[in-house]
Amino acid sequence: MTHYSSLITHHSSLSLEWLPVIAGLLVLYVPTFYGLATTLWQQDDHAHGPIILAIVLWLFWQRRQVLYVIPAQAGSSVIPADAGIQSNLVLPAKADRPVIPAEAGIQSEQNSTAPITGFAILIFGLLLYAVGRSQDILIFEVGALAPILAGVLLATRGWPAIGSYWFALLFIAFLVPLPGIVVDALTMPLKQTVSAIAEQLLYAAGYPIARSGVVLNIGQYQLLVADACSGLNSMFSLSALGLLYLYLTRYKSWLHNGVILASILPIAFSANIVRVMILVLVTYYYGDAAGQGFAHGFAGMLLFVIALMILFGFDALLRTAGGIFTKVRHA
Amino acid sequence: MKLINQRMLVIALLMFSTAGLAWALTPTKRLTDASPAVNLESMIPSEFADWKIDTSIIPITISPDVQAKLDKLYNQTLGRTYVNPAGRRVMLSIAYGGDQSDSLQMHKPEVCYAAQGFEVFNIVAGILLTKYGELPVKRLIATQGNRNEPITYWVVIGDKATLSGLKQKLAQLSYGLTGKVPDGFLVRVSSIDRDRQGAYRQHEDFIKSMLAVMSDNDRVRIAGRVSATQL
Repeated sequence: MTHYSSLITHHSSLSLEWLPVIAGLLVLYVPTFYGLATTLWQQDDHAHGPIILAIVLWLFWQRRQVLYVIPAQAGSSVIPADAGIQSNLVLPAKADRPVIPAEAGIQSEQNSTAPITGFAILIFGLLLYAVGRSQDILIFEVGALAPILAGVLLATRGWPAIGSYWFALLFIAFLVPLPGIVVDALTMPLKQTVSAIAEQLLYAAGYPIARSGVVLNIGQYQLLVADACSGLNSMFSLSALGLLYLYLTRYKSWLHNGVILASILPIAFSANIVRVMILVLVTYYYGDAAGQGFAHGFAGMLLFVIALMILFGFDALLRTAGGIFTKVRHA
Repeated sequence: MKLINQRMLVIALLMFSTAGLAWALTPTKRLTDASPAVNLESMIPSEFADWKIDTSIIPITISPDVQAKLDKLYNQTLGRTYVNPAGRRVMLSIAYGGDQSDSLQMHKPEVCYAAQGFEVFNIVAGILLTKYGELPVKRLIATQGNRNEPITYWVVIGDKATLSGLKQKLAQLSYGLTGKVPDGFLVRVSSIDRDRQGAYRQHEDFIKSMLAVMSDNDRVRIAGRVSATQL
């Protein structure tokens, strides 16, 4: 920790070094995000946008020490300082070391930048941005942020910076609004399936329910499973949250991570079915007004809480199971 | 410690140039300025073949908020009901937008109807064979309570008739990358009918008859250069 104080004194000048790049990023992306904030993000379907942006910014901020590291040109003098920084990271950097299998190979170029690859990726990103921005293609415009940032990191800080920021770069994908074509293609089949399963379950539970397409008839009520009930948005947001959760908990077991990852979508899907069934039952017992009123918004929030709880519960279960398994094996 | 890092400056310069490039690439030349003004009211004949405007039906007044949204999206809209001697009615609705860049993208019926509480299903892409060529159309059903409304519609971007969605985007892009902002039409034909196939056949007959009596210029505007449908 002896290097810490000397590092602090360098911070001010080092962060000044980033000013031109930050200015460039602002020129590129302030108009984009301002545009999104005044249009798309105001719709319920895309309300998660600003939150994702905040998370991406936080992910970069949280490991900002990576940006302060000066890659050594020749190699020797900066290395001790570098080691000091590594242990100062907010999250224990050592913990994720084994997670990057390629790191052994990277180690040799630990302290050198990759200008050619970096600039190639940066320029690719910038071109993508130019086409997206000028032709109003949001996937390109917003998605370009990932190659742009990756290119900048590579060109100025080298592969270790990518190693530290891989998750933040990946998470940018959630910032990209789902294209309308994808939404249209997925919404209808999802709605159909959700209605069919909700009907089957309630029928099995003895309720007088019948279904034609996405219209559910229960008692004297007729309910329409609307687009918003497809659960597509909750799947999207929950995937983002689930990934973030996995990243923050940093399990070493790939099996554990993989199982949790694979369970996110089924959990989001089931939680949505529960939500639709709750709404159907609220209508059945308390009437149309109840089902369409407060309960509707509340069920949406409940869906999220239920899904997260299932996810965390499943995670705890896996941990317990994993613990028992290890004990048995070692016994 | 160097305060100024050349590499950082190069990156920043690249970013600033990209912002400029994006700005320069943004299409500004509106196609609509180059072609004669559109007047939907006079463009679409009030009588053709067996069909004539049904004056007994007063078009439903649109709620102010919907109208405000429409005004924002479209430069002109036309809504008419035609009737034939057999008493069958067909509703024709045309929307014209002078600027079809993405920010003013046309409202697709499958989205529009659903937003007004209709249940929309059976969305199928099809081909309507006219004597001028193949017109790519989308067919769908919108229902609300007892109202069962089969819909046939298509989209024209610039002078290309296209299916909504990806192909529409590509058509837009082919204009956009040459610096042009295409105008666009959305033509929707619908009827209230339980018999889906019958309704679609009627729409087809209606559309063919309408196109047949229109001038070449007007027809190209409203149905595109139909030979150019294959993008």
